[in-house]
Amino acid sequence: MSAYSRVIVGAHGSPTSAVAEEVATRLAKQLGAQLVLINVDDTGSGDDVLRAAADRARALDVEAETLHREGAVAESIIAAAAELRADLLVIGDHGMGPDSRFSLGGIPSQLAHHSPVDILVVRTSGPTREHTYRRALLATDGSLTAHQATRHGHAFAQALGAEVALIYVGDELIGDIVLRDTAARLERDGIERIVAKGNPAVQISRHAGDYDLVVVGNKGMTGSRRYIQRAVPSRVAHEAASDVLIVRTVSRSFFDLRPGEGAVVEVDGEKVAAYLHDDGTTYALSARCQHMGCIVDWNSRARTWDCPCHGSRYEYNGAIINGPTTKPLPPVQA
Amino acid sequence: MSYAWWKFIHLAGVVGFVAAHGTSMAATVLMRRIREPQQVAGVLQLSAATVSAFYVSTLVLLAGGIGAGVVGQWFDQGWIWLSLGLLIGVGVLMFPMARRHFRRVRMILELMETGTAVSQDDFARVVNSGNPVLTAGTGFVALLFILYLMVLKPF
Repeated sequence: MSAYSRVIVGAHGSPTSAVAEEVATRLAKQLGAQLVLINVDDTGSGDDVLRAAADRARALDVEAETLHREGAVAESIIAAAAELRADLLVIGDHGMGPDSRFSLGGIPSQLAHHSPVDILVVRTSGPTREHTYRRALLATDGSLTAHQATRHGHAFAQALGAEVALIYVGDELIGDIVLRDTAARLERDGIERIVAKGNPAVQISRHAGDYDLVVVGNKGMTGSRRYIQRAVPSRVAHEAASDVLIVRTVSRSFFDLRPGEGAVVEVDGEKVAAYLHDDGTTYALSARCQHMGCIVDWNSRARTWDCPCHGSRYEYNGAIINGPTTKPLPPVQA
Repeated sequence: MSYAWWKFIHLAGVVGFVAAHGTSMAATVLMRRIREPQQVAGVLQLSAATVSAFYVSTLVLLAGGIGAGVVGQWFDQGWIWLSLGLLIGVGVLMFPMARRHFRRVRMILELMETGTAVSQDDFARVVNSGNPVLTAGTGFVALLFILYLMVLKPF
């Protein structure tokens, strides 16, 4: 599995941007990927900044593509990443430290939440770092999206020649089973496995201090609920001492779905259980279990909507498979 | 409302509580003997189906009991306070134990369904990991003692 083929990074002439650029350039070189330098600026100095950034990349033997945009920074970078079909966005963490974890704004924070591609948050604050990834920590909760993230993180680490370790936070018995299974999936029996107890974000961030890179999936980073209860990857991105790779494992719109795939997506701030049938029909259902209101999960293996709270299960079209629910998932306008 | 009505509400709550919670307790004990994930899922579902009834009946039981206590002027006696304390205390003690066990079993079933490799031994380890007999026994003894306090009003 290839890691990344097109890496995009913002070039804005700031010290933070310079660190992110350098990391992106080195990664592009190591992975044999195309490097795209983007500058979003309305003052007219963008071309000079891009030229200087391209020269720095050239000094590291990387020929970069440059792109200048005007308008809102985060939106422009997100749009460019999607248009150019980039698969990794590298950003500095300026304004993302633990103290700012309750703030909602900030360009890095906006990018981390809305990026259409994987995102590498590079620590530019605090002590000077090498940003050379020799040891990577892959976090998993055993879910299908976490498997995607660990697989991807493992491929990335392997491409860089980094050692990997796995971490699960939660029940020790389940953690042992999940990590053995994950190691077997990665065909790495001898891999270091850590089962920690407590708050997942806190524990992953704590263990991150022993590694150069932490890899997490983006589950929970979208939707209005993130403002109330900050998702694990979001907190890790703010609090971990190491760089953080957030692998985009959760689809966020109908357009991201492939035939036969379902996902809980956001529509006007509401959770919608969306499914794209093999025949092209789309189904939009309320994602709230009709038993006690928990948000259902997509079970890609059985193609069902499963409630994680009390075990109710629904067909892809919302029909009941089993209770305790007594009502199907109602269709919604989307 | 008369004392008899409060007592009726209280006893109706008790009936609902015992029926709902008894089902859940039986499911917990029964689960230990099953090794077939689908059967365990069925038992878990049965237990989950009683959750709403359990909460509602507990509220009815408490409301009826407190109402009867106020109208019957029992709150100057020790037995009613001890009963209330026991019900709440045992509930607080047992809830995390039971929740942890059920969550664990539910998680292992979910993981198996999404393709996680779980050996028979691991599955048995998870299903047996709680201490359902101790949990159910504690609850049963506590309920018996509360019944004793209610009926004999010893102090």
